Amino acid sequence: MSGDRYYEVRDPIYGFIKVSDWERDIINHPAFQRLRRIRQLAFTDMVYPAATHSRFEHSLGVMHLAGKAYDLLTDNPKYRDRLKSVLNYDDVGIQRARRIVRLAALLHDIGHGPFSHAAESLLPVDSGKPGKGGQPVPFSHENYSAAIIRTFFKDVIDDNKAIKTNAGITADDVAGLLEGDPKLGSHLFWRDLITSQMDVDRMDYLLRDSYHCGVRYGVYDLDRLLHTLAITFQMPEAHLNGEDGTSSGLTIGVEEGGWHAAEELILSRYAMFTQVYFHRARRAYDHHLEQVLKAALKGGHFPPPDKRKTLQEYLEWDDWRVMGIIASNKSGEHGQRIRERNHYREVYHTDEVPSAEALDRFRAAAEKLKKMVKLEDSADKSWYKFEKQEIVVEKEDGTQVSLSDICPVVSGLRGVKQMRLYADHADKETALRIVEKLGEEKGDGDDSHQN
Amino acid sequence: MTVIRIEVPWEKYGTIAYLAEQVSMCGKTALQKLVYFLQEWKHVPLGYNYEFYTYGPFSAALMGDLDYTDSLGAVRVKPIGNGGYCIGAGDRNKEIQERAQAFLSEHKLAIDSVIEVFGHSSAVRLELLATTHYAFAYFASRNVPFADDDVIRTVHSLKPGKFTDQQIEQAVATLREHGVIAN
Repeated sequence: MSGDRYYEVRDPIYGFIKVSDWERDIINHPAFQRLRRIRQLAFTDMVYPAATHSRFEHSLGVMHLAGKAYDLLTDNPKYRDRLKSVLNYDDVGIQRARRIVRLAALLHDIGHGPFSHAAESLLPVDSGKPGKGGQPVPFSHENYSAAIIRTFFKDVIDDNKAIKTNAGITADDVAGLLEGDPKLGSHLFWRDLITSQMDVDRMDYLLRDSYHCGVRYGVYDLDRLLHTLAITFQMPEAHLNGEDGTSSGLTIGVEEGGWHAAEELILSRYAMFTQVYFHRARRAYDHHLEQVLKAALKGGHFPPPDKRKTLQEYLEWDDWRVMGIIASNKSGEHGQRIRERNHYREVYHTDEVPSAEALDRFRAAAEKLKKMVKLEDSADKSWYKFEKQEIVVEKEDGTQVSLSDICPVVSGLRGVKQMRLYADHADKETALRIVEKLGEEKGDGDDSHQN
Repeated sequence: MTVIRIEVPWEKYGTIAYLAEQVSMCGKTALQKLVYFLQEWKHVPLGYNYEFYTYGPFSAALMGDLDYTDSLGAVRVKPIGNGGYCIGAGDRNKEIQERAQAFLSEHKLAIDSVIEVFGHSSAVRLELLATTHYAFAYFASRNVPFADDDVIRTVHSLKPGKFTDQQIEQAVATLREHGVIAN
């Protein structure tokens, strides 16, 4: 951008990350510095000891990738023309959107609670929101992010001299993109770059988490993927009903030459989910941590994001504060379990994609084990849950297909719906024997049990 | 300490199975929008969170559950070329519905109403109706006065060039006629 001054920050994944003057102002804000005190992967270091990285570096990484992806897409004349003809962008609008996308990427995790997703279940219910079919809707960390941006970053974004001179971007623009605010109209298209099946958030965290865990599951060909991203058209379902589908909207997809890179991303996501994010011990610590927080929080949940005062209270919660509670012997049984690495042990699990019968056996096992069961867990409860992926591939002839249609590996992948039972370490062997006997009685063979 | 029991969401899988049995759904858009109206109009408590993406209101979790109900044999998601899919009843459709029998019985009238009003609409029409409703609900949630023109303008900005003013007005009229949105 003309007139911008850039700084460089070292990063273990990308080498250097460039940060502009006004991005640096945002990074220096206390609410952003708080991300240094929010672990990316909660207590995954109980399994992978080096997994102690923070949301701070991840947020910089996502901003870096968002800028790269944006530039690669908009430098391509074909995609630039599509932005102009379909979404009515002009050159000034494209420059303006770039800033908003980078800021949204930088701030996308600003609303995380301590230990990231482990705290998600303790966010309060949004009493002002119409329910999902009548059910109360809890706030998400994205709601907190939007509220924090509008409340605490308004000055540093709205009144930033560089932005006002060049584009008049507001905190509301940035928050709106993250929330999917309909007020943004066609600019919501860029939301796909930050939160979708192939977004820069997961592109960064797969590489970063893999690096810090010391595994290779999350490694994929980032450069190839970025260079083959496409601004393409939505899947043409309209023609199925005899209608003209040529007026489809735009979406982020991948060129035909890059579909293997997209395939790699999906496989990395799957492997990281099963081996890291949904690791049985990590999930046990998510539970212990949740119990510690529940006891420490007034009313058992975090303050809501609806007022400056309650947002400020929320921002005072970070990992350091929680660690202090755990270290102080005031955190009860679960804090002690964390201090002593005495987590609940898995004693039963279903297959990754359980049949209806396997789900019945799960319930039978839980009932047989009775009071020995300390925790029931399911892949659906994990924020990182792995589900069927749909990515649009633009073929060389300009038509679109789903990646599932041309990639047998992705086509064969199913979302993970595994369920688990946990017991106290002292009861583990007894529980395993009971479960094994149950399996023999029923003559089943496709579920397994282990520690 | 009470152990929280994980309940298998048979009501979700059973509803998807029922829709696959009752409606000829070509394209996943149809399922997305039918479930959207089940929740937003008839308040059937399925618990899917919808966000606005380029396809209109969309639930990623619903796509995941569609895939799982296919693996359960409750539905059959069949590719039919050119990126299209048809969703029909699978071999174990009735069996999975039975597991959700209490839920389906309780909400049968509501589900059948949604099928009657929206079940035969094309994917494009459903996209228009759902996007129009989403825009309407957006304004309604802000507790500020608004007019149909505001809704029309929002739909235009969300889907530039895709729908005419007349089509959006008709969508508003349809939603109003069936009591999906207020007058």
